[in-house]
Amino acid sequence: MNVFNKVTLQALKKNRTRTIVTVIGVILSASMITAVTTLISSMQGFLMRSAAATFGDWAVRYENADDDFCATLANDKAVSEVLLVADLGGYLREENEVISYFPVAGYSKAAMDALWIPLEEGRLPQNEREIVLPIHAKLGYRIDDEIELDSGVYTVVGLTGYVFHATDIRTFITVMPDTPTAPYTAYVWLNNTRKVYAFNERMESEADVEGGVNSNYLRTIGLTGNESMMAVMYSLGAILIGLIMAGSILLIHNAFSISVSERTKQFGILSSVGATPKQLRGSVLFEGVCIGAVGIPLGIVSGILGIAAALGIVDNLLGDYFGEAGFMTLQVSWWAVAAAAIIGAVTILLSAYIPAKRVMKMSAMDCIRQTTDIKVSARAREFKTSKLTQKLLGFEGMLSHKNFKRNKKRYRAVVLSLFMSVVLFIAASSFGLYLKESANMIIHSSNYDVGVWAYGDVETEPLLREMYGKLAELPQVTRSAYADTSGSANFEFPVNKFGNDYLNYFPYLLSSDEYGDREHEVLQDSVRIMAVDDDTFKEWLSDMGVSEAEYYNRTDSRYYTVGENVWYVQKTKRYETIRYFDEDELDFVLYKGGLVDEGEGQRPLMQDEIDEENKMAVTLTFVNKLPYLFEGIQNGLIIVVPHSELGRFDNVNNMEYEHDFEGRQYAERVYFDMMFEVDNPMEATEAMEAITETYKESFTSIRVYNVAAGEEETRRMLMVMDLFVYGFVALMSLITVANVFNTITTNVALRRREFAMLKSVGLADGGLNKMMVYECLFFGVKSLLYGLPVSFGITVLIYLGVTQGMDVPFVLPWGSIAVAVGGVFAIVFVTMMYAVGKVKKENTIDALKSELL
Amino acid sequence: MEILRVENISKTYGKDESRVDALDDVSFSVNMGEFVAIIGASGSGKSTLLHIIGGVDKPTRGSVFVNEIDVYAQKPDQLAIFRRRQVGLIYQFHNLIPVLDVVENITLPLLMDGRKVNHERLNELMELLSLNSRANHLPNQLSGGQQQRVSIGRALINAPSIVLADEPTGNLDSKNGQQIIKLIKDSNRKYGQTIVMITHDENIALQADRIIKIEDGRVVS
Repeated sequence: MNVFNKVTLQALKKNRTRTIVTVIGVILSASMITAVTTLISSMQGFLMRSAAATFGDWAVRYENADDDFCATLANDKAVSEVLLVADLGGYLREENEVISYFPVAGYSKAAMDALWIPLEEGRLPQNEREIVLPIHAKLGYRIDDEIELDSGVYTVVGLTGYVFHATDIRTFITVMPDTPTAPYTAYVWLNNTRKVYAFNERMESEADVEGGVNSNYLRTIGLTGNESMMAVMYSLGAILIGLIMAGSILLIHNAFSISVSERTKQFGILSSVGATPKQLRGSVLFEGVCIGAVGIPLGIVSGILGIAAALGIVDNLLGDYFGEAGFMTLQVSWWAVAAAAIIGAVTILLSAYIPAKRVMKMSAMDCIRQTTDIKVSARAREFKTSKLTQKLLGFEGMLSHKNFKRNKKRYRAVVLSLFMSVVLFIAASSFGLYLKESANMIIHSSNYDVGVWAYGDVETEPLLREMYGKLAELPQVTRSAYADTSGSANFEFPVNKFGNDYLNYFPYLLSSDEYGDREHEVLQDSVRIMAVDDDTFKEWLSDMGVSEAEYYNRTDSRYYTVGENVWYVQKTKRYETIRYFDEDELDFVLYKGGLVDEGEGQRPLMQDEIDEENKMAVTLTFVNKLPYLFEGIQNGLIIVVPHSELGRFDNVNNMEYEHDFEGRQYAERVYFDMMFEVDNPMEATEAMEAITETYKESFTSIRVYNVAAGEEETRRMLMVMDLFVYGFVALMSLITVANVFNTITTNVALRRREFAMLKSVGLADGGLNKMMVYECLFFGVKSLLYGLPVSFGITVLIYLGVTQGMDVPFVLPWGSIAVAVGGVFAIVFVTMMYAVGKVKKENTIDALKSELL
Repeated sequence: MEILRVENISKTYGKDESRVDALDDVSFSVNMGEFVAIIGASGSGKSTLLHIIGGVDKPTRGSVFVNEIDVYAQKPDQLAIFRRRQVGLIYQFHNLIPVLDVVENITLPLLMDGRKVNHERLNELMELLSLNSRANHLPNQLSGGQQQRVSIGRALINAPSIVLADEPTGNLDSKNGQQIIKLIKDSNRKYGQTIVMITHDENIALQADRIIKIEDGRVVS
């Protein structure tokens, strides 16, 4: 081993603490990069499995496929498997009258296994005369009922949730007949899923078919066109990786610049006895290699173990929660590990090289004397300490003030690392904040834990309320609300009076078509009436800052209406909140609808064909959210009224119109949505099911829905996101704290002689503390002065990244900013006191005699 | 034969008002095998001069020739090799590498060159310096005098063209100081080693072949 490497190794051994801190820095940074990439690939695997479970892992789907095309598919070399589902038509008949269309699909055994059918009640069909119906079609059929469709009469054996893989999520599912006939829906798996777009193009050009790619699944394996969500993810991902790189480069760089400045004298000596710059550089690089050789493998291993442990803990705690698909499992992406190793190595080498290069430029004598850091300026005024400082902190304050002014380099390292810490912490928080903002915007998480939906004949309304009373009194329930959602009313409106955003979103409303210029047409639309219980309504009013008296005692027909919705806007490729009207308040005439024969078909009644008694003039005031427990179910225009006022709408309630559309006797039914916030969803659901069971005979349908279990997918997503965000912020905090600790302790250790000298001329411990207090304040204030504006800037960047795909408001993470400000001072004080405490214990003379190596 | 020639060396620190002229147009030469003492008051610029001769500090103006080679016209690598092979520096504060033992510190210039250690010469030096029993000690296990002897060994190991000593006894008691001077003189006699030594001790200076006196950055005699 050559003498330089030997000197380097010995120096590393001798300065054990510093070496360990540097190695820890490398470990932290390598482990963070590994952890993040591992987490990303595990998350991707998880999302992929979830999507595969929900939507299926087929690549492309062809509807209306005839026998020829099915044969073409089966014989194509690119195809690994084709599963056929027979389209059996599906007009629903009641007493020989066609009521509505629902697709009926005949599944083969293989198709039933490969495509998830979300059974809510009963069982899957076992022969071609059995069928399962979607529960949300609200058809009123129960298990063992007979249902008459144009493809035959079936026995209902089960109820399903949304059938996500199908073209229509309300598909009725039965077993494929023994001798099926076209058309089919063909689900296609490919040997190489990545070629799905090319495959589909080829098929579409060869045959007269239109394929639907399984974009929900393909997205999770990174196969997607230019979708907005991906744009957001990539922008955020780039910022995230950038932050990690910045954090780890800073940490390692700092460690090395400290190490090099400590070794300046050693370099001077070596240089004066004839070491060439190349040899000195080699020695620095060797140090880097030694530290990297220990730190990088340990970092990678601990990163992987860390994520494995985190996933294990979450799985243990919440395993049941995630059902069969299971939670994330550890998925190590080896290219990512290689990337972490390379990034770590490059960072170390650059960090080692840059400060070393600075030292190489100094003359050997300057290195030995270590004098160049002191700034000598002619303008002495620059270094005058203000009288205020002197008064406040006395001689000690002046001393440290002079230190700062004359020796900027030494402090720059500390201020820089604090500055970066502030920036990284706030940026990481903003990142998390916007990630959640955008997720919430799309996912519409509900506020309630358990929902009970029931409907029955109008006469059962008091019973429904009685049942609600019992449910609300359960011990698990902490908050409850109900809404009668049976009502809706029609209104007419000139198309061009809608808000600009709304018209931009539905441009066809204004476009000319076969019916002529639609701009001056009148649009008939319906507005839903939601009658919530008065207590909930009053809470809602106070949320909006409206007094109860003001509302209940009003003399005009003024109603609060939710007048906006979130839509995905194709043009901007963003999710946007769109208001129906530009005005905050509008006058409407609501009326009862109906159908009238015209020519061969029927058309809705127009306003002027309706009796005055079936009309109602109202003033609608638009607001942006529903009462608390109903948030997240908004969809369209909804007038919210207290239940006590429901009677006012009696003459415009619009049920007959719906009767004709859905085919049931709606006019005679009452719908109740009951929402509960509970402590223990499982227990509460069981208790509620027990209560509803006793009412079963009274109503047409009762359904108890455990959101915690039912919105599994959504909650899973949000939980993964939370885990990801908080894990990231925690790691970032850790790395920045390590950084500051490293910088300050080394800074203080390097000044042992200075402190010892001050002590030897009579500076008391108290005085030393005073100096340190002043320095802490200086560090804190200075780093925040630069750090806060820069973090705001990065927050703006993140905001701009998110708004590429999402219409979210600009927010600053105030909580994290407060934590950052408090944290900076806390960390600086604690570290400083720790470091100084160590120095204080030392014998003054030993410290004075000590050479800086 | 002339081995060292200093031509019109000036060295200034700072600018304008705070400008300090450490050396002002200094010229002289030294012959091979000569033992020259440089004396002068504190702050007269003698250390700066020595460092410039040794190639560890740069002059503001002027040139230094060692064996007719212009020291500061060399590239950084050549300059380093010049320091390694042509110059031996002895400091007032020994400047040893604390993590290397006595033998390693002495042979440092050889090790840097990747050359094999001439054990005969090493042993001879160790004996001359009375460090035989301390071969594997680290610097902080040695007394001040012993440390200074190590740094002398390091300066001599390569048989450089010129040994530069910056107040080698300044940090030692008089008995140790005498020993060090004797060693330097011995090397001058025994190996014909050219020596330029800074001192402020008239008695030590008188033992030299020639005395150069510096005042306020100028050679006065």
